[in-house]
Amino acid sequence: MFDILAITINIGAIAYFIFSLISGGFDSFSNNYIFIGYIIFSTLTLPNLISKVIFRSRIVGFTSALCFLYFSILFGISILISKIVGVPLSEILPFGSIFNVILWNILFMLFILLDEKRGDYSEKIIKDILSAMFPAILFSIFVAIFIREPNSVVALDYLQHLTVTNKIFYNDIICILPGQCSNLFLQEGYTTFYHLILGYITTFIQTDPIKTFYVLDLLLPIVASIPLYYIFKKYTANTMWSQLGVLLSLLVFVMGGYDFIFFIPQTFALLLFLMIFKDRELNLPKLIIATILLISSHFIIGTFLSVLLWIKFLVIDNLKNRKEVKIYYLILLLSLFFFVLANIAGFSVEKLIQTDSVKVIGSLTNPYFPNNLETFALILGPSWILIALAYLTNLFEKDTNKSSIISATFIVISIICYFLAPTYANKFTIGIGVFSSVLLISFLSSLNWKFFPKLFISIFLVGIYLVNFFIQYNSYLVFYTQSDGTVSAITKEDQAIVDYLKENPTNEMVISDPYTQLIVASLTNTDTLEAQYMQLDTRHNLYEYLKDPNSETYEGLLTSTSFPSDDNFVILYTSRLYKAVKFEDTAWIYNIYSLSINNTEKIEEVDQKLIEDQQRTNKKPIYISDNFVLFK
Amino acid sequence: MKTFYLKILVAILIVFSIYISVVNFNKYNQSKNFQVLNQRQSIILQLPNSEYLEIIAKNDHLENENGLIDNPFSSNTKVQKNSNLENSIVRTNIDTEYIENREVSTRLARIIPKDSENLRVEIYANTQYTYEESLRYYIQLDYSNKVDFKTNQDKIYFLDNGCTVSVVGENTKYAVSDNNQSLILSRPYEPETIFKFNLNIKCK
Repeated sequence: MFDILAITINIGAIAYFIFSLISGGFDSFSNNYIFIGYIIFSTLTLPNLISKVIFRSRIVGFTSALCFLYFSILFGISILISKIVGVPLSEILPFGSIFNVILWNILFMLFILLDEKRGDYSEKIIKDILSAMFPAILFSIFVAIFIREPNSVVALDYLQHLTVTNKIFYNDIICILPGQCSNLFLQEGYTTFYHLILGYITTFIQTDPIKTFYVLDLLLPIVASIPLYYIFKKYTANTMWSQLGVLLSLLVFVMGGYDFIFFIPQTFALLLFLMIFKDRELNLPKLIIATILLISSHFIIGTFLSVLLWIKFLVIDNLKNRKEVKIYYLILLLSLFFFVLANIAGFSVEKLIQTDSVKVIGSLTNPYFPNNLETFALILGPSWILIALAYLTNLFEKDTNKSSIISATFIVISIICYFLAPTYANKFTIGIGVFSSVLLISFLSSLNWKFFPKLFISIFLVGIYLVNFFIQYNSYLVFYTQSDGTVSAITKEDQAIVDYLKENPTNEMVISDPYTQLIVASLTNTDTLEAQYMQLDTRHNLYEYLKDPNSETYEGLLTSTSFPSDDNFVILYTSRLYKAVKFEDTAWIYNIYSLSINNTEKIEEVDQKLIEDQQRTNKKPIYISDNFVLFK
Repeated sequence: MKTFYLKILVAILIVFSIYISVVNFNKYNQSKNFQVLNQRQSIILQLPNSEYLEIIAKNDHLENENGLIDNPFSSNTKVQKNSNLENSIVRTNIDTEYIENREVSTRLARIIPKDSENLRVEIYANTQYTYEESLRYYIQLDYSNKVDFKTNQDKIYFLDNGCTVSVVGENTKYAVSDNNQSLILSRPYEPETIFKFNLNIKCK
């Protein structure tokens, strides 16, 4: 029955695409939500099918995580074809995305047909996958209706990563590290492993990136629900507890970690980690390969997640009796107290060791006592009480429940890393939603509830998590709330410059305020001065020049950090800059993350001194809209 | 038996968690009597009566018995506000404004909303002046309208266009400006002068 259901849905989708192709042509696909969703889902689940059908391995496990390398191999083949045939990558890569969809369909049919010969195994897997996806679909519907605005982009990271796929696609640049492709990466935090997947989802197939990011945010939880469900099933052997576990894991908004909220390198690393973690037969060689894979997806978070796997392999799997488990729990608890108290006493890695990074950023990146305690408490909200009960019960229990030890370990290590407070410490809270849910669900399932109490507990828990998730997500969206109430990183005023630069592409570097630079770099593939990461001294010099345009301040601007040494640049005067000069709104020049999203202040009149000084360098103003003047 | 007690405990804690969730949700949804606008060079508390209260660092000053000594933040070399920070840096419910004047003087203002009517204001001003017994540090709360300030026990308050605004400080002296638009708070000077006061804003 489930086989037939899955095949019917797939055939329905393909029939719809054929109809769309006939009625609207190829161009209609770039804005088609169903097509975008289909591309995303088939691309992100293709490795699972490769693992199952080609390698005869589990649909979720070490092999499925490793199969994500397929995209790198496919890209390598595309480069090879491009070099041999002598055509640019932009003509080859779209076929890669289409090939992924065709391969997915072939493997899907093989998965069902081949298993039919040996019994009805695919029926069981599809049933499990649908069971996993059911709570995730409810979750995504809730997010789409009550939290997100249609076509909203609420992570600047997407725009930043888009610049890499743009450079690969439009400029034929091949890079292993994103910094080799784009100047938006001040530090190399990952390889382009993630960017190739992002490319196959959007840039390489030329779907609308804004719509793609929106749909991606809604589909990521559904894709992630598959490994999550298998993890819960592994530890509870119960469908209802597993579905509850999936839902609770998704309903934790981890500020900074963004577990299943956005598809960015760190959450991609988490997705790979969950697949690897689910594998029952992790041995030393597999663990070494897994470590390399995770680190290549994100140098810091990948390493962090690898360390968790190694701790499981070296320590937890070797705990033999109750006494050792008890001591282990106590060590965890004492370590936790020690590091939290050290933080309260003033210890912080970023304050003591990473002072140079803090100087570049312009401020500390973590909150400190008592705000950090409050912020941390908000991640799970009132659910922390239940987590504490589960932990303490395990400490005094006679049973040595492996899932509880693992999840308790991961939670404690996350907390320790958070309170050690290196820069962006909140990133280390990644996965805390999953492991707190594993701890809680393992604890609750061990109490042997009857059906109705179990049902009531599930409903109440979902309610508790839902409220906290709703509050946290909406608090996060404050930054993206524009002055007209729209919640998105893309403002309607910015569309004018995007359209202009698409119609009039330029090889000159566009220099503007950091936020506009990010929009321009990501949506028009135009070079900018490090986009939103424009250096503080450059921001200061740009502000000084616009405030008082003369040859001296212009020289100051030219000698700023990362400024192009040649004359190949243009200044884009925006409402953001106009407002900054007019109202002395200067916060953005003192902190690298200080950005102004609104671009609404109409430029009433451009300073005559600025026009004259720009004329000195043979640049004349081009009035693009009420919000943009380009000196070219 | 132990499982039975654990089940009871779980049920109690779930009920307690539901209660906290409801409180949090109500708190989140409550329409507040003020809106904090933490932009440009000041912090503005917008009230429902279309008027506003403004705290500007440039108005901070020091006085002794002979009169004005200095305005430590008359010119600023660094301004940081958390309101326009991208979310990679964690957000809290607190609005902060950090100001530096040539790294010699620093001033941190924290606006902490407590509920729909109350907020706590904390100002930490670090300056370097020679100590004098009569030296006092002054900060100013400017209102957008002329009002009649009244005192009642340890608080000072005013009524305007349906809103009552009260200020309750700790060890703070109050004065009112000549134009009846500003409330001036002062404390004896210290290298780190700290002002902590509660603002209660009730509107009809």
